[in-house]
Amino acid sequence: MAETEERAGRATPDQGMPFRYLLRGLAWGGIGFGIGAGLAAVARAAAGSSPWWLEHNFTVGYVLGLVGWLLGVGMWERWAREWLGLPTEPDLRGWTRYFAFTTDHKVIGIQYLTTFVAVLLVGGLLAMLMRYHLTRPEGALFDDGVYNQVMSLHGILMIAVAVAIVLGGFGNYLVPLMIGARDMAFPRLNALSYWLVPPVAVLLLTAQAVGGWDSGWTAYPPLSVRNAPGQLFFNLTIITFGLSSILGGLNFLATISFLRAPGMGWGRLPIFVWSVFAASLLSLTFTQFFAASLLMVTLDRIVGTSFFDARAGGEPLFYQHIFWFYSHPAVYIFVIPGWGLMLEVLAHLARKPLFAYRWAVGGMLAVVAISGLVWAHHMFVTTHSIPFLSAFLVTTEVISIPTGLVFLSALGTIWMGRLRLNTPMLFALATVFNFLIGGITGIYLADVPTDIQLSDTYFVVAHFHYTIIGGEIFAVLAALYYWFPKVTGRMYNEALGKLHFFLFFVGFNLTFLPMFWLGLQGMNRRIAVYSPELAEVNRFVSVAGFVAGASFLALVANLAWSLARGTRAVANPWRARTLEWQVSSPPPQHNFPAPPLVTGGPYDYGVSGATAHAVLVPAGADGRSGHE
Amino acid sequence: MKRDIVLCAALWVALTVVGETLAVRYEFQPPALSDRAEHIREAFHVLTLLGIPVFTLVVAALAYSVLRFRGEADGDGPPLLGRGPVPLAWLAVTSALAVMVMIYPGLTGIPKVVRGGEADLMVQVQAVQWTWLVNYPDYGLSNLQELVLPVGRDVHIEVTSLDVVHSFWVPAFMTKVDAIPGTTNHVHLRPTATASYETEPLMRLQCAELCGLSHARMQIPVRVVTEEEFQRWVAERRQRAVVSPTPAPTPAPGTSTLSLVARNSRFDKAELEAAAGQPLTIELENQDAGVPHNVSLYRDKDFRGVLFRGELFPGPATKTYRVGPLQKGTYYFRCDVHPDMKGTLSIR
Repeated sequence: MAETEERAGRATPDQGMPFRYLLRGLAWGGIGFGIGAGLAAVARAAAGSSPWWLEHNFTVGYVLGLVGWLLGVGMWERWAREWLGLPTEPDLRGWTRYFAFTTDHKVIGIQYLTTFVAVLLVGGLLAMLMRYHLTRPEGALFDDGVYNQVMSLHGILMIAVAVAIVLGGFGNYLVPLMIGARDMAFPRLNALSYWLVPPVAVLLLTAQAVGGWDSGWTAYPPLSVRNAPGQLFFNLTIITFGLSSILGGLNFLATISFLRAPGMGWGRLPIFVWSVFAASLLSLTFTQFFAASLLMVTLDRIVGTSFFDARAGGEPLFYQHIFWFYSHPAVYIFVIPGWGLMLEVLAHLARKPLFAYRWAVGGMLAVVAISGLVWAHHMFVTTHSIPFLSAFLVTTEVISIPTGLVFLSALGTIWMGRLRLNTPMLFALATVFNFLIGGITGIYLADVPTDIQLSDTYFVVAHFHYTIIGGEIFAVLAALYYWFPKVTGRMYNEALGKLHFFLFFVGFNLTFLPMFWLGLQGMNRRIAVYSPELAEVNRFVSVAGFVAGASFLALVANLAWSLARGTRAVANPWRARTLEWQVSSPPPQHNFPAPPLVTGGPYDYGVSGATAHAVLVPAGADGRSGHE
Repeated sequence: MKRDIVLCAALWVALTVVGETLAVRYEFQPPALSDRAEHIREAFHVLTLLGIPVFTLVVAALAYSVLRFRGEADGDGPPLLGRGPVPLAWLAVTSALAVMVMIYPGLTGIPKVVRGGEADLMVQVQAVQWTWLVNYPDYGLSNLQELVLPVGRDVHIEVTSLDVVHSFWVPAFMTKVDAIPGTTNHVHLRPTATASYETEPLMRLQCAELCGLSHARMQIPVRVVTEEEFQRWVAERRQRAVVSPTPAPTPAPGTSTLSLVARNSRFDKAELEAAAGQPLTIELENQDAGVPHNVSLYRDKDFRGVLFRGELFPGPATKTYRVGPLQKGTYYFRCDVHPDMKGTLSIR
């Protein structure tokens, strides 16, 4: 069937306006919203209340608006018609497919990447504003309420980037290519995962118009039950985004389990694919707890339940348990794929086999296994119960052991290698260094006695920025440069890339290292004003932060210039062994003429007598036309 | 290969020596002013001493590789697969280290920092958006906005919240516990030295859990004093406490009386008016059960120059404040706990 789609696609070249599906999505979404808000008004009036109350009308309007948006943006032609027994239409071609519901995993990967690089830049800009505000102890820019709003928005935008940029972006683009598949297992589900994301952006922006929310991305009740209506928008964001994340995880697990090319045994999977597999196990099994915790907050707000209201028999702490039951494993959803990218780049650019491959895979899977048992280390100051504190101290220290195996793999891989110190390699090496600082400072937070003083201070702020920026975003930047030739067919500019690296690496470290000290000196987190004696260090941190932020101008300039003017990339500029480099840059639609035959390991650099990782099979040579 | 390992190990040792020297010489942490803080400082120190060799090992390997093993030329590195004893040894060493910090300073440290035990002073602390109310039930003192403790005495502090989740944190005591509505948390500690917020900024009771608008400003001063000073302070506070609740006498002729009602954390009026040159009485009816309000007068609309600070009290209750005569002009009033509850007072 895919073949006929392809032919049909060629037969009708796309001539319409590229944004027509987007506009129709907005229109249908608006109509759905109107119907929903109206239905809520009728129901409210029928129950004897005034017909309008923002939180009721908006919630129902949002649900129907979301359905309208999804259908309008192209799900109707390419999926929903089938439910009514009507024929579906073939996939789009040309520019339009980037702005509509389409199923090609490479298009979806690019959609995710561009969206979340943009969100990363917006979140970074908010960070710059916060750092400008904090150049003065009394605050230089905002009043307290606006600062809390900006801080909360920065938090959730960056969490969203951390969740989706690797899995949604690189995962979608690379996993099918790396395992020799022509697409994901459920291409339409994949498109749905992506198109759930734009409504989230709309929600977060419109939330600011109704007072935003001031409870951070953690949204602890009772505060989140009684603050401005922006909180409701945040809750709906998490539920929607959570759904996207769950569907994505399911899709990767099915794809990696069932669509591997012949010969691609589990022991021959590139480490990045393993890391996506591990992180997908986490997204599939834990994300619903995040959504559930905010669904309960929403119900407390709009239908008068009292899950978290102590006066009515509820328990505010209960929220924190459900919330962290997801949100700690979530940090492994961020960093495990980051490790995957890091190890991938290190091995190919050091031209060495990935050291202790099986141990690294085992480490990742062990982290997955233990990650569900450590959540309460975020709650060490909620109680002084010794058994509670002891249990979670033990599990948290235990999880550092498999994490250490990833470091072993990274160091063993570069040892005696032929290191090619280009931009992606520099970012990958910096990932090892940064994540090391994140990991070691994590020990202080896992250790109850020290955590009692350090929790909720800038020490924590510094620690998690080291793990998430240091361990994930640096790896993302390594990957962005490393796979840029593959995705765009053009080389990036090495000089601008190195400029970006050095400015960001230095700026990042000078921003966050002093924050450990600030935390020790009693600066608590999420504050709009602080003690005057900390002013100088805060000013230093802000200036370093501006340098780190400015380095992204080099990235944007590099991407824009290279996309338009970069030299044409060959299929395999790094002489890497993995499958995505064996096809043209950019890869053809449906990736491979026929499933490739995998004959060796992905990292057998310098191994005497090693065969190629895979051989491409010409179309029809295996007697099959595709994967059906 | 052997030479590389030796050189890299030498780099590691050198970095470790530098790191450990710094860690011993340089004091990363502020002074500790409670018995619990001593244990926490010790734990921090131990973790730093143990963490440095781990940090320098990875840094040495990274730095040595970057300096020594660069190559743009063709050709591959030696195929070190990592299937031999190296990963096993790594696993053994890292596990041993993890188990070690788990036991000390971890598990053995917990009972020291969350200890219970006998106490000879009991203090109740209630968090409310956005201040702290301190009660000394033994002395009949309540709703104070400073925490004063005698040095060297074992104190038992009960912490709870009247609205949202807050966190009780005195940085100088290295003591933190969440204030959770419907739950009472307990802290035992013994202040070890006299100090006060005026000279030591860490002597403050600070909210450490994001609690909304004025979270950053939710702090009150903490003071540790000698036993005699403490008794004097208690006596003085009790005297004030006895005076204030007496009902206001009928206002003298020529006094303006203003009234305000606080309900759902809102004042019923945003504008008040009174005549110049006369004493004022302000009657505040606080209808919010369990929520403290007050009325304070300020010279400027940024609420910096305070003219009069009314005593804070939880509702439902009514209190009358007396304020001396004011000159013509516009003044600003608010509830100090709820900066959103504010308005103007015009004196004509």
